[in-house]
Amino acid sequence: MGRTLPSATQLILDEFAELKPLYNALRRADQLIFDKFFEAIFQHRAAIDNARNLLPMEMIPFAILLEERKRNNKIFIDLYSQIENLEKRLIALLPPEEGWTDAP
Amino acid sequence: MREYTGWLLDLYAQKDGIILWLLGEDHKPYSFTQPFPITFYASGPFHRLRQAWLFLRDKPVQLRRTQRRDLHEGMLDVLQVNVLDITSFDTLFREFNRQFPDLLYFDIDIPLILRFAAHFGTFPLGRCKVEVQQGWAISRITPLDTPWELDPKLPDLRILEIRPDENPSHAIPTALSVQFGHFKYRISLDNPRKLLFTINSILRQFDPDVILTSFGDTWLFTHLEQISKETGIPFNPNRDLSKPILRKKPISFVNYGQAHYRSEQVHLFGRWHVDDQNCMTFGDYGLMGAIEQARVTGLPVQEIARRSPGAGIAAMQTLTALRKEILVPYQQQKGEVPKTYNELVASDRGGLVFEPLQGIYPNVAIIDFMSMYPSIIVEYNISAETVGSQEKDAFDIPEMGIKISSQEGLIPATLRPMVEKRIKIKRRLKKMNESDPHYLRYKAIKNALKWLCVVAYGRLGFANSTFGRINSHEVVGYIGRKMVLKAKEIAEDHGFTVLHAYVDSLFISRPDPVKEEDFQCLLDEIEQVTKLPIEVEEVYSWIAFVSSRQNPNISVANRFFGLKPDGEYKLRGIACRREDTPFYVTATQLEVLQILSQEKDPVRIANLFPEVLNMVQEKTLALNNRTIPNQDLLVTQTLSRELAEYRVPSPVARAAIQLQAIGKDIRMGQKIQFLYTRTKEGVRAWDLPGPMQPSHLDTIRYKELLFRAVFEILQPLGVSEKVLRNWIFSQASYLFPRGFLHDRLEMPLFANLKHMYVDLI
Repeated sequence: MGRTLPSATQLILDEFAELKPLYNALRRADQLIFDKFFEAIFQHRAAIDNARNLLPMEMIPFAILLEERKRNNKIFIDLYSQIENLEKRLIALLPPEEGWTDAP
Repeated sequence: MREYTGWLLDLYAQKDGIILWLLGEDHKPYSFTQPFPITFYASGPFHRLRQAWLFLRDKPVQLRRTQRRDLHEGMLDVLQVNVLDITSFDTLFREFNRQFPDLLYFDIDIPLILRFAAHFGTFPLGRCKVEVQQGWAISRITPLDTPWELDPKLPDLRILEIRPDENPSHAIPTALSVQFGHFKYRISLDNPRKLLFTINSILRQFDPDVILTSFGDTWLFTHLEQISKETGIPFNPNRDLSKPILRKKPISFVNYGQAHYRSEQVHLFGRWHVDDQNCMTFGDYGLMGAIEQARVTGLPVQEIARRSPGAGIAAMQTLTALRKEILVPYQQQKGEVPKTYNELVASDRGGLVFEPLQGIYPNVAIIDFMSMYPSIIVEYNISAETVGSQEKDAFDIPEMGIKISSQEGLIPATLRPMVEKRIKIKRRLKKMNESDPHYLRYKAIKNALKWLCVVAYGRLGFANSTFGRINSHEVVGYIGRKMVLKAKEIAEDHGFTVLHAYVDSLFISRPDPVKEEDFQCLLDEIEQVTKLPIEVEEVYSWIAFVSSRQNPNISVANRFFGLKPDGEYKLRGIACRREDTPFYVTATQLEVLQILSQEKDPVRIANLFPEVLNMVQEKTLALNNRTIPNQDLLVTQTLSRELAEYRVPSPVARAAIQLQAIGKDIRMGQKIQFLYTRTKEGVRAWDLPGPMQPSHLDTIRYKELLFRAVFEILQPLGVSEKVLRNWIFSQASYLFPRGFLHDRLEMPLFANLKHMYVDLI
């Protein structure tokens, strides 16, 4: 509706505009990471809007943290599953331990 | 005494009352007369009302001091003015208003047919019984049905269709196609005398109830009247031959942020004229839907077919007010209930819209609150006068600082029967086969009522709405958001992933295949918690959500496409749904979708890419070879402001300037058709005379439009922009692993290797 108040998207864009000088002074590699923060924030516009807070900067870090946590979780899951696979393959390569073989 | 039973066809004013046309059960039209004064009210300080009485006492009116109920203020002392000569009403009121601008006026700008409906319970196309004592003067009229019947008995209308063979704004028509009953003629426009004789003879012998035309408002009737003047052959398309054609002026207006233009209108007396090229939503439901809207709103078919559904809702509210003897204010609205800063932040919001999860998902169901906003209005009793109640037992919304009265409000009372009817019709349709004889009628009714339901919420907050109040509008939005969040919670409790939420619907999926029956438990729980009816709209084999054009990592809410199990698609926001997309681009995008519809499993959908690429490359080749007809490349855009207001003219404005230069009348809201060209102006208006040089066509621009439309479909399936450009424009082959593509797996360009497919194990 935004009859008298700016929309969540507009508030976020305003915050981005304020952060522009900071962004400009970062190295390219850091700017690319910052871009990912922006993407994370944009993915949670509805939630930021629903928070009914005129100062989105209070909500924005949560959106970034959320996406970071999701990314970490995914990395952990991938990592554990790869370790598990490696372990299985390693066990298959090892000679059978004494006592595990069938009795003569 | 004589009795006539039939359907109310038309009603209009004459000097001392009304003329009513009834379409008899014997298929004959009858016209009756009835004295019918118009009543309006004025309220203000006693001494001013006294002066008003002195001013009016010599006029042809009856005056009375009485009390009437105002929606917000309760009983008011008012001066009641009965105008006996209803044709003089407008002049009389203008003069009165000029003399007493400080008085508050009520029941002023109400269509005559609504006043009559409020008094006698009749409505357009409603069955009624007319009793006549002598002559054709009505002594009694009794309604025999209501607008809320699901299967009302309706008359077989005699329909005459007249359409020119060309759009008159583009080329001069050479013939008219005329169709009525089982007959179909082509009448040449070369012989004006013969043309008029033929049309007059059809009007006399076939005596149509409805004349359906294309360009009837803007060209046909003006043309026929002009040749009537030239040849001296009389022409009057009215059934009431004592009346000339009624013309209504053209108008530009802004509705829901979009500019619209309604051309001059031609209305008839004793029969209807509907021009399908000058209507707003008529195309969605046709004559059957327009009849339904007329029955429900009380407005004449010729009127409601052309106007926006907002006018229909306003008429319904006025009718309810008249029936409940509530004063209808003239040009005023109740002010806003004051609110604190925090309450404003809580309430000044629209519907809840999530950012969908990007990509393509299998087994997605859309569950949809049926007529959500009207249902909230009815269920939670939201109306201008019920919000801001001080009653003890009122329903409290503490976050907004608002209480809602428990006494039924005007708006819920208006909407309740309509919402109930639409839900019943929707449920019947769901169980019905498309070959069922009732199917098309029910579908038209459903669509016609949908438009009325859609605008019901907006009218609550619309500044010019008589019975609107912004607080009531905000409360509906607030409850809507709250209920969607509750539904989301319940869906997640049931093990579904919520992919997307869009105002009144949730897109939910589960890894395992699901059928509609599997949702009943979920729906029951949501319905119980929210008190709002909800249904499964459809279970899709897969749905793809399109990302933002600027950043492919950001999703957008309103662009997606989903495949139903029967091979049909639900398409939203993509190029083929937008009216400014050239047919060539639309057709190509639909063909891409058609190819993809062969695969129900999204994991295997990439196998169809070679077929898509072949087709798209053929289309590009056809564009290069100039074998696409210019008509298929036409872009249609609406002029969003008056031409003088453009600081930097857009392509549509440049095309409009070309048309203005050859003498065409250009107004805001008009739709302009043009081609992109490699000329100084960059466009060429379609309605300019003479042919266009084929070499002027801007093929690069059209190729880019085509590319964007194809990319829109393939992007959610994992194809990046760079890869697709190589595929389409460099004739490169494609190389990708089975399943989804990924940025990391983008293959280098393999020039000249046509359609090689490498499957990774």
